[in-house]
Amino acid sequence: MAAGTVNSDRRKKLIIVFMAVLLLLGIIVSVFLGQFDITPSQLWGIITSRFTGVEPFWTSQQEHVLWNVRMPRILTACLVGAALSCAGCVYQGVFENPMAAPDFLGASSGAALGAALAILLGLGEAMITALAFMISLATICLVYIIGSRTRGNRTVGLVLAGLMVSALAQAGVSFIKLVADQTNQLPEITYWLMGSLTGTENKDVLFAGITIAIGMIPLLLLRWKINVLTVGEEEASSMGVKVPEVRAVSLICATLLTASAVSVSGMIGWVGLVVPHFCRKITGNNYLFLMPASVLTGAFFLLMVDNISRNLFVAEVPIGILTAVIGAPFFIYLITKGGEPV
Amino acid sequence: MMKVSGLSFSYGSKEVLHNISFEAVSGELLCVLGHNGAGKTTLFRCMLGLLKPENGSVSIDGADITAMKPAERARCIAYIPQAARPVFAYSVIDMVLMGMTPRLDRGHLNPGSEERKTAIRILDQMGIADLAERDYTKLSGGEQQLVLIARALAQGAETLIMDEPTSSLDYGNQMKVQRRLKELASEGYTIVQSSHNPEQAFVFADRVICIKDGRIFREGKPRDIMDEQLIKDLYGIDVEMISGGEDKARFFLIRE
Repeated sequence: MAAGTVNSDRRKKLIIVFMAVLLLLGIIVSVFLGQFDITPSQLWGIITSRFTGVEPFWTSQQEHVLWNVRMPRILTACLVGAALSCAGCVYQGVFENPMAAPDFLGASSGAALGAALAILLGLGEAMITALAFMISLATICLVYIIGSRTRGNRTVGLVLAGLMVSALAQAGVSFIKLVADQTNQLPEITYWLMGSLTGTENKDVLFAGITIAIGMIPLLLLRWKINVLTVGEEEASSMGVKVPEVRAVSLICATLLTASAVSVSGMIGWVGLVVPHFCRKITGNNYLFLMPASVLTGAFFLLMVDNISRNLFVAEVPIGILTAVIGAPFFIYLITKGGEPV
Repeated sequence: MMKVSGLSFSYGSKEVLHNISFEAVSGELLCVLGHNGAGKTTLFRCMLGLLKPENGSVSIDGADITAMKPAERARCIAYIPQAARPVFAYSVIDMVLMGMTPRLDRGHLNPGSEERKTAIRILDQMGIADLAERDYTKLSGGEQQLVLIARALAQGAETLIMDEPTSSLDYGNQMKVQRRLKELASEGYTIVQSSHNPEQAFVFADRVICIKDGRIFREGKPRDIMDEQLIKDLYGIDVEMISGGEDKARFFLIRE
């Protein structure tokens, strides 16, 4: 019997290694996709020229596209995908609720309100990101405070608080759209709300990379305790887990992940719900394996969807539309025919 | 040895427990009887450190449990709920490994192969090693209860607190689980369980504590205290007691 369990764990580890390799391959393939052709040898040359000092056999435009357009966009897609699925996977565990997702705690609508407000006030790009981030965090705090004050079942209370605060934030967004300048601001707000990775720059990668690392590392370290949280508050306490502390740290980190993702990419829905569920089917519910799997699959999924979004049609389709079009039917499949109930 | 002394607890102005004192020694299976709302669950929550008593204390081998760190407390005292229904399906081995959490530390955040071996050994000891890879949520109630007991043993605790451990099981499984608990007690574990079944308590418990309206109302060996009067005082019904098998069992028949 002992051999059997070791094998099943080894199999899960192999799956995670496979996912990591797949992601790496996905990144390499994505570099070649786009309007400007780059050959494999040119790519190798551009990357290694910094060390080898080889004579360029490529145009400076190609080099610019690679470093300042394609790479930041690819990395941002991976970071945002990883962050949203990691956050979704944590929310599901901490709230003992398979339907939990970043969209659900008001994090996404809070970020939307912040961005819309910044656009309305005519603030610059950096301020759009900053304001989206701050209002998103504020929204979650509000949801958490209201949720913990509700009588009765705290999990349900939190979900309801999330719904309510989201509705308020959405009302705010609608009002801003109403009063916004019809020719410039309204299209910008609308486009932002649809979610897009267009025009991602290296500074976005830096911002998202740092904030996402700050949010994700504690979660990866805490992931065994999140397992224990999913069996319920009292049982987890009786097993020596400091429930309020672990829960608070997990929520703050997951929210940081959501807010930083949304603030660089706009509203990209479904990833945080669908990817963790897909991974639950593959690696099981143990967060020891589920969380790394969600991070890698989320990154791969959003990268692929973004490739479709920027290459399939002449005019780019906002990625938020695509994630919904792919995510919603897939989720219906998961909850109906995907085998066992969660 | 677990010692509860002078324990009182109130929810707001409503006093739920009043001056409860008793001891449970190693190797003893203690059964707490009482009507619904008598305060059994609140008492257990205080004993587990989930609620802080207003007055009085709970100690294990002389150490006050409220002064312990959560992990330290979990290594002394474990809780076995009536039934655990996790939202997400975990394998049996993962459930037992969760019990190992208080034995992990800063340098060792996740259970590894060492913990796995221990978990398998405990499952083996409970006679359910063949369930290790099965999905916990798909087991029968009796098997689930055995897994929860294994999880409690994995904590390394020697005092087990059980809230009506067998009340949702069928007759055969009730007997199996109770017999298993009796064996654990004879191995030196201290077991405190609540029950709504006085006849079962008579057979399996070494000592019975009766709680009524938040106070200990009677306490003693089942043979000494369990009679018609006790059942009438505890549950307010008239019964006739029938002793069977040279008083190995006592049955209570309701008088019309």
